[in-house]
Amino acid sequence: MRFRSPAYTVFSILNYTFIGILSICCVLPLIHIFAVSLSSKAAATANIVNFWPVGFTLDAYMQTLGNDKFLQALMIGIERTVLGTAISMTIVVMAAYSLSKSNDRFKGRNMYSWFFIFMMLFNGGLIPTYLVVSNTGLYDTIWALVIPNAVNVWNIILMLNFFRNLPAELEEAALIDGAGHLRTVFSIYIWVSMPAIATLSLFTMVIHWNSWFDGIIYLTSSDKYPLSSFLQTIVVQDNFAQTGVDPEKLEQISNRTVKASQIFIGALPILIVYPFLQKYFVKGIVIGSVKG
Amino acid sequence: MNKLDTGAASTSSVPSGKKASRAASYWKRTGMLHVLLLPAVIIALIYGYTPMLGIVIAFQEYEPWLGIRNSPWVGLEHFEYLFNYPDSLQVIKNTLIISGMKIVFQLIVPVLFALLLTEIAKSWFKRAAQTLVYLPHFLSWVILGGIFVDILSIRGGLLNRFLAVLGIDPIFFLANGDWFRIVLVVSDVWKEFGFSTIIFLAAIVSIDPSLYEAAEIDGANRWKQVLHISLPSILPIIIVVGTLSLGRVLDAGFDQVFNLYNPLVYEKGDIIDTFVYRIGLLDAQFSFATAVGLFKSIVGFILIVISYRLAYKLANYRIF
Amino acid sequence: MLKKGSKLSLVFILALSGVLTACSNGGQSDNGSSANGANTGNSNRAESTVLDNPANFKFDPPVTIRTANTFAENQNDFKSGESFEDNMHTRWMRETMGIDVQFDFVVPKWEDYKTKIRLLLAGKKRLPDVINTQTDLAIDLINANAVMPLNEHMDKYLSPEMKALYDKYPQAFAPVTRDGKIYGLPEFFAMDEGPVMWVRADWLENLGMKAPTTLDEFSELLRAFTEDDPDRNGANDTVGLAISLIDGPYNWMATGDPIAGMFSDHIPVGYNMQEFWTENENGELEFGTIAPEQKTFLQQMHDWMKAGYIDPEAGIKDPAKAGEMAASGKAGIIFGPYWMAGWPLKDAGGFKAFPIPAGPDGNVGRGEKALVANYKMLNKDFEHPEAYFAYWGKIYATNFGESDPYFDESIAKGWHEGYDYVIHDGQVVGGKYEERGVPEEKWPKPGDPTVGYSVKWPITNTPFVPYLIDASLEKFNNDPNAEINNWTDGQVASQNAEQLDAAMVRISQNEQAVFNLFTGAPTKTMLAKQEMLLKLMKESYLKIIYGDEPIEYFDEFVDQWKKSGGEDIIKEVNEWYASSKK
Repeated sequence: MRFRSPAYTVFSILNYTFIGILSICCVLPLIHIFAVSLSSKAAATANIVNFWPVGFTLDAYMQTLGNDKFLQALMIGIERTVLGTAISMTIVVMAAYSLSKSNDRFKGRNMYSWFFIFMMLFNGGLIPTYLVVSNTGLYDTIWALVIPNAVNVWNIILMLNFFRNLPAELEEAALIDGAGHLRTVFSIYIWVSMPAIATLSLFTMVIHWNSWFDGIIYLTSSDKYPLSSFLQTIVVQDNFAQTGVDPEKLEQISNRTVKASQIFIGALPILIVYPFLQKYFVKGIVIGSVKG
Repeated sequence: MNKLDTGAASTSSVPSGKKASRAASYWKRTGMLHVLLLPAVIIALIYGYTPMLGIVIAFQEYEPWLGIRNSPWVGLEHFEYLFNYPDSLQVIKNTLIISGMKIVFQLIVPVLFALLLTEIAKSWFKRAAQTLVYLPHFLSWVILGGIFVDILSIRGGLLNRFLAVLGIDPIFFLANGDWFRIVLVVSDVWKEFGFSTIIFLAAIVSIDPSLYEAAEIDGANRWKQVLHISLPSILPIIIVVGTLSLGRVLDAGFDQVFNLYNPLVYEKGDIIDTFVYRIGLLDAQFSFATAVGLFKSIVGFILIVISYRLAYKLANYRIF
Repeated sequence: MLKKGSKLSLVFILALSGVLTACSNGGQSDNGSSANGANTGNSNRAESTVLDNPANFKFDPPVTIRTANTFAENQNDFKSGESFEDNMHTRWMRETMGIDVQFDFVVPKWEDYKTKIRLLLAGKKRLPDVINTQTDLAIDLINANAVMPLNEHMDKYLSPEMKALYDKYPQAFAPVTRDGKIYGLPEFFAMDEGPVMWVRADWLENLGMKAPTTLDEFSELLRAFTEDDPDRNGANDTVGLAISLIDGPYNWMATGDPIAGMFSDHIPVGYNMQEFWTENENGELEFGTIAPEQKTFLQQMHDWMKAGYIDPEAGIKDPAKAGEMAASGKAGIIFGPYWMAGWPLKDAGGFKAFPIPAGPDGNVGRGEKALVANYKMLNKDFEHPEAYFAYWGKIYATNFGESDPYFDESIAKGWHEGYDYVIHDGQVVGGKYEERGVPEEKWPKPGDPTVGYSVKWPITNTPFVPYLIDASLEKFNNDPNAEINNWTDGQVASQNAEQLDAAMVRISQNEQAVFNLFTGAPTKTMLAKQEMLLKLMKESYLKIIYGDEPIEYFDEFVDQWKKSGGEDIIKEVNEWYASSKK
């Protein structure tokens, strides 16, 4: 970058400071949770842990990682996320490509658009959806978590806007080369749209990684739960106003440190994926070279 | 593949002559476009549209064991109930205020942040900042609720201690309705802006770099470049994101409000979803919940149609 | 356009009809498989299997019971390789009784459980054989005609002891009885959660004060704990009382019912309207929330709040959050159950349990938890109700001893050796394995003497008999090394000294417990107006306590409460009460 004016230097200093402070504000809660996960039970119960462990111990992690069910759920969570993202993104990219054509070139695209928009806004609610999912044979399978929500209209619309902004010459060149629509999408468009595809894939991944309710509704046993549904079985604290508290269970209600460790470990996989996708939207693609 | 190739080849040939052959060539040119849409259409029909038939229970007194066929019809009773409920106007107003502020700030802050971030030259700093600001998205409100009660505590909470240093009296953020709304908006923006920034960053890096090069040659400074190249280039995405979020204008964030609110701020902090939740708590009121959902969808739909039309009329831009 | 439209609608219709046929098929096959499966010959044999040998029955061939339950797993719930669906207890059921338990689903939260049962109902799918319900779901299931009446089975299979227990609490059946038919088996709480007053004894010592026994002393102690630096740290950072008011003054911990109880026996509840109804001198039920005495209670709370004796954030804190405050050493008094010494007050300074102080007129009161935890209902197509009743009889018999025909000697002192107890020196030891000198290899979890594996009940609740636990608590309070003679003993044996001490305090005030007398199903107006009335109550109470409204506002609140449906609810509740007394 070649901006060296004094005003820009002042701006830069302020910019670095501001973004630095903001970043720290965003990371503090996670540091707090991390510190709790490394603290003693009594300190956690009394809520006196801030950003540094009180009564340091690794017990919580030993317990979390020693739980075979946790690891199993982690694997299912990853499976669901990979499968769900792959299916959804394929459908999204294909649909967005068609819809990115202008109305003159693709008569009927407007109807398709409104067809999807309408579906994004209106839904039949829990019971009818459940009935359809179970009557199409998806009940108690991982497909119930990845097929019904595969048409992500939000992503289709964002994607089609990105496609539209690609230089028109791209498609013309492809068509002159004799490539059909199918080849144009998969061998040209997706490569020049990597920033958008990386972004939307990340969005989809995060949705799949965090969704827990469908797992609980469509799967029958906690053995089959993906991680987020499984975490619900431990992180959630019931309201005891109308149920009894079993004194033997108290030890476990108090397990805030273990819960913290599970939240932390649960967030890790998606945090690890992030930097790999990040490069696409930090750097971007030099469209000029493709055009050339 | 064969069929595909012929289809593509015919796109270059100009369609001519009779109606039938024009239709055939139209199909050849666009057939594959329909095919590409097919998976999405099929899934949408089965899992999106078929369940929509269930919306009729909004006009019934639905009981699961009776099913749609046998549940009694009650017409608009659930809608009347919603609008005649003593608190409902207040609740709808709260929802619109809270959600409206969230939509505005959730659009401005990420765009600003994305623009600021692109001005960061040091790659490691840029990446680190980006990673950190996106972390809060992964914490659920169940967890954050407890943390915020601590941070905002009137007895030695982090924020009030900071205010004390500035000589400001402690503020009971979670017990004062006006402050509560601000807390909702600020904490929501804090939680989500990093995540929302990504889409705008993706839009910024997709801008054709030759535009900047040309501007630089013309002697435009950085501010001018942002104003005349960056912003206009990402404007479509901004409009799209803004429009789509209007569709959810009556969703003011159930999880967040539910985990932070209390009787002291019901008056200004109670939203449609928490209100429906409390009503449904005692009795599974599927019909009422569906009626409220339908109301929310209709409002969202109307807003989207309006903004779609506006964008087309004013900017000649089709959002979708 | 037209062409495409028709194509679309064709796909749509195809998809739809596929769904519809699937629907009707599912319904048919479910009905076909389940109806009339058991012929009379089989059921007679099954009947005699149980009745001829109630203590040691075994079904051969084994019978299957399908169920669904709520369960949230925690660490140390099971030995490695075991799970809620497959563990020592389910194996034991299969091997000794010939009962094979199958789970249709297991979900973490009660709310999700109800949703899933309702979804099964909506999809006309087969419900589990044994269904766990609370009143709302129970009513739905009865309305749906999905569950079987149990009168005959109860007559035939319940032991005399069990019948006597149920006779003692006839009100428990009210919500699940329709036209004289009983559709659900009530399961009880242990009734051990009435609150005591937890006070920082070390702070008392620092200040040279005694635990309060009257309102005035209590008030003075709140002041001293707030103003006199009871923790001697030189900072003004303590308050007297930690309490949760977010859902009204009555809650499962950090509760305020002992304070309301100083002024009257009316307990104000903010989370539902079925509680707390008490009888007045005319034999009618009165609602605690609107009792005129609450005015004095609220006035007192307001005075304390204004003076800073109560945690100013009481109105925004849930019980766990309020408990945190006490545990962190910032509050000196908190009301709650005896078990709080295990959590959250364990290792939290010198909290000690004391009796609840008396009010100006000497009144002492505490709200007693509802008697019934939930109901078990049986699918009307369930083929083996006798197996369920047999199992039920067997596990409850452990409470009643040898006189009960179902009494099984082998589970009298604990359920499964090496899980919830071990035998050491010929004695049953259930907990505190290290203290009791049990060698490490015998501990249920080698390496950790604090862990025992209690039974995770697959098709029932913990088989509690109300108040039975008090005798065991007393016994182990007198002698921590007492012998375990029944499984209630086993439950109590692992509790810590502070808990036992607090339990004695609680028992000493059992006489003061206030019971909710409305045990019917929610009334019509309750269902329609509850949300508004509860919101009104919680807002009004807090506004008065926080001083946003003067105390006179209480009358206004009561007026509005009555006008907004409260009057009708009082009427409906009393109609129910009159009919239930007949």
